[in-house]
Parts: sequence; C-alpha cells; structure tokens
Amino acid sequence: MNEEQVQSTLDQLFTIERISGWIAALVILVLGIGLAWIVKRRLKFKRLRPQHALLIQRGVTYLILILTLAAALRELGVDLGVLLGAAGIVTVAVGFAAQTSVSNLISGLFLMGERPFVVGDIVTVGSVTGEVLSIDLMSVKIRTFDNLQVRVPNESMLKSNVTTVTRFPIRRVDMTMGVAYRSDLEQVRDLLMDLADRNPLCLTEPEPLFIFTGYGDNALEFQFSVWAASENFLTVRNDLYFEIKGAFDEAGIEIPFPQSVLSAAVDGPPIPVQVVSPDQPSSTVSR
Amino acid sequence: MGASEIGDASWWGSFSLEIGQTARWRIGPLDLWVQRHANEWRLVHESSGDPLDESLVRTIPATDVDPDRFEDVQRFAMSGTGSRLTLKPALADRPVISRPSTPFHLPAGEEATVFVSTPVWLGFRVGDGDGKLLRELAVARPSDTWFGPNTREGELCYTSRTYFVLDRDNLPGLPHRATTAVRILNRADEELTVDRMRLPAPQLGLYATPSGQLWSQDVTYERTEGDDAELRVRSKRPRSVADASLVAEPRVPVRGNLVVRAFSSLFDRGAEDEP
Repeated sequence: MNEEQVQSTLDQLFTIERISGWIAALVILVLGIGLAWIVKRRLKFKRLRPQHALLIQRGVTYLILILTLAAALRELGVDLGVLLGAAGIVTVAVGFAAQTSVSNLISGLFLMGERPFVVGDIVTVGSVTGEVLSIDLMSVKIRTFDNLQVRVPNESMLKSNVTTVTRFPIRRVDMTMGVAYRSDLEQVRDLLMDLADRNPLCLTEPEPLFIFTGYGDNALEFQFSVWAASENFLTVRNDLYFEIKGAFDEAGIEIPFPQSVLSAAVDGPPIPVQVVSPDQPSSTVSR
Repeated sequence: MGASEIGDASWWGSFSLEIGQTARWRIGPLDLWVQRHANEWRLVHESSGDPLDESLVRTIPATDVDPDRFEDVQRFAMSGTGSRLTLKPALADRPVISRPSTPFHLPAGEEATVFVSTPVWLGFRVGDGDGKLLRELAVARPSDTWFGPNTREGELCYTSRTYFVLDRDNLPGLPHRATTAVRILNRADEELTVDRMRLPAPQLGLYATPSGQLWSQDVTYERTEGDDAELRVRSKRPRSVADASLVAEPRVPVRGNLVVRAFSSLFDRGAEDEP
C-alpha cells in the first residue's frame, strides 16, 4: 500500500461525518451501559420472589445492552439487516452446539415459573434426596443428608418425577408389619391405637389408620399409619417402631420370621424318625 | 420451708432460693427441680404421663435430692444468679381443639355457653420483677392435631384431653388446667352441629382466682348469615368468676373482632384421610 492509498483510507475514516458518528456511538454506548448498570443496581421488585426478580432484572439489563449496541452500530453506519442475518446463522450454529445448555436454560425458566419447590425444601429426584440449596438457570443444587452436593440439570428435573417432601405441613408415617397367625388382631389394633394416642407427636386428627393387607406367607399382614407434623416425621417413626416392639413383647404378640411347615405326602411312606441321645455323635447314626 | 401440699393456694409465684439449694414442684404429672448455683441455674423435669394427675406439692428447699436426676439437666449460665425465681402459668402457644362427649346441635337463633378445659404452660423465670424467661414447659404436653378442611390446608393445634361441657361443674377441677367459657350464637337460618371446637388459646389472657383456679378470657363465636362468623374476646376478666386477677397477658394480642371464614368448619368434622 503506497502513501496515497493510506492517506485516502485515513481520509475516509476520519471525515467529519465519520468522527461525529464515532462520538455519537460512544455516547450511546456510555449512556446505555450506564442505564444498564443503574437498572441492575436499582431495579427492585419487592412483591416478586427473589428468583423472579433476578430473572426480570437480568432480562431488562441484557435488553438495554443489546439495544444500545444496535443503536451504536447504526450510528457507525453498519447495516443491521446484514448483521441480524449473520446473527441468525450464528444462532443456528451455536444452538446446535449448545443444545443441552439451551434445553437446561429453558427448563430452568419453566421450573422458576412452575415453582414445584423452593430453596430449603427437601426433595427426592430419582435416587437423590436432600435439601434444595439453589435453583439456577442451568441446574438445581441439592445437599444430600450425608452432606454431598448434587447438581441436577434442569432438563432432568423437568423430565423426571420430583417429590417435594416438605411441601405440606403434615405427613403420614406408614408402617407395614405382620403378626403371627395365632395373634388376636383386635388386640393388636387396640394396642397400636393406644400407642399412637399416648405419643403426643402423633396427630389425633387425621386419625391413625389400621389397614389389614392380607394373609401373608408367614404372618397376618397389616399397615399402621399415623400422621405427624413434617418436622417430627423421623422422630415419630423411630419412636413408634421402638414402642411397638416393646408393647408386642410385653403382650406376647409375636412378629414372625419366615417359616415353612413340612408335612408328609398323603399316600407316601412315613418319614423315618430316630431318637438320638445327646452324647451320640451324629456320624454314627445309621440310616 | 419444707414439703407442703399446696392445697387451694396457687402453685405459681415468686420464690427465694439460696446458692446450692434445690426447689422441687410436683404439679399434676410434671416433676420439676430447680437448683441455684453461683453462676448458673439448673432445671430438671420429667412427666408421669397422666394428664389428669391432681398432685400439687412444693418443697423449698428440697433435701432428698438425687444427684442422678441431674444428668439430663438443662443449664443456664449467667454472670451471677439472684435469689429470686418465678413460676408463671400461661395458656397454650397454639390453638386447642376440644370435643363434646357426644356432638350436639344448636338450632337456628339459639345460643349456648360451653366450658372448655385446656392445659397450661409453666414459664420458669429468674431475676427481679417479672424476671427473665429461661424456659417454658407444658405441665402436661397435649397431643398434636391438625385442624383444617384437608391435609394440605389448615394449622397444627393441640388436642384437649378433656371434653367440653355445657355445665361447668362437670369439668375436672385440675390446678394445671385453665377453663374458658365459650358462648356460641347461631344467628344463621340453619342448625349448627357442634362436633368439635377450636379455642384460640394464644389470643387469650389468663386469670386466677384467690383459690388458685385458672380461667381465661371469655370467647364468643357468633355465626351470622351465610357461613361467616365473628370471634370476640372479652377484654375484661371472665364473667363466671367475680374476683379473678390477671396472671398472664395473651401471647398474641387481639385487636378488634376476628372474622372467621367457613364457620361450620370450626365445629364440624375435620380432615378426612384415605388409605
């Protein structure tokens, strides 16, 4: 490039119109960024939940920044139509590359809108149970009870069943158990109801439930359910299991272990039985 | 002062205790030991579990102190302990639900006064004046219960172990329970079935007679047209006792009348459960 060409390029770049365009773009940028900064710092939504307020605040800030940039580029004489077309192609390319992230992002927006749980709730997602630490745009962070942090992508959160354990103030403690066939079921029911009645943490209403579930292989099977405040759930369950075992032992009610009854076939030969004295080694018993 | 059956006198009040001394109270099912040290107070309590226990014994100072009892002790440290300790009764910190022995009906335009007995809490305070509240204990911890139209909406309450009655003489005269007179006015066109009742215990002040009976402020539920109602709390001492004095302010002060939605739900069956 010779001296003349450089001179002409410089002349084109620094015409009065160009310089005024540069100055206008700079002023727009400064004002826009200033406005975005003010919005970020000052815009408060006291009536909205923190997550929603943050989302709106970020949305408004980014919108201002994008409009500012577009206005500044226009002042510099850049054709926005061409730029938008290029941006569209780039968006498609980036969209394919960042499919997972975008999916998580959109899932995050849905999660924030639906609010199936809030920070501090205890939730179960798949095999993970723990306290929700944060609900972010891409993922939900959960602290498990053995103090591990699990990051669950929002997409998985939206696709899978999520159980919110602490949603309602009361919970039902379901206990399934069985008693030996010779037990008096009415006595068992009265005993359990009495235990629930004496435990102050068991709610009197809704009333405890005793549901006979069937004649099992080894026991008369039933479900005993009591209600408790959610925060007392574990205490009530533990206390009742201890108390039930104690009360059954005291009343002579047996909780049976798996057992089988052997009987001889009706037409078959009798089963040979031989009496062996305690001091006789088993190997010497003849068949 | 040794062991004494408190008899008709009140079990609460202010007492003096020297360093190293122990005071013991037996109030219904609650056994309570308080020990004063130079820089701490120690508190031990246990319950016999029978909410209708009528025992009332005070021993100051207690001499037969079993050191093993002080294993599950609650300790309150401070720069120095004064000799004054105060026991103060208070009503429950949640509403109390009680039932009649059998449900009754209140025809349209009728009114009835029922008497409810609810358990009281005991505040353990130290220091001059009203003192500093160190611990609050239920004399007989009532069972929790749920009060609401279903298992999702409602509030956690206590269950009263005794029925509410139309004749106050039928109430058990226990020194650790307070009586409330509740007037129910049915101004609606329909009959009202009274199966249970919610008593707003935290919003009621507690009064005591010279003989040691505890009464709360009177309550009126007025069912108006539709299913709405007004709950009114009488600002003065209860009507049924002439010479009662205030021993505890309401935990939650009531300003004006409270409007209660779905009046019938306050008196009818509660949340249903399914297997």
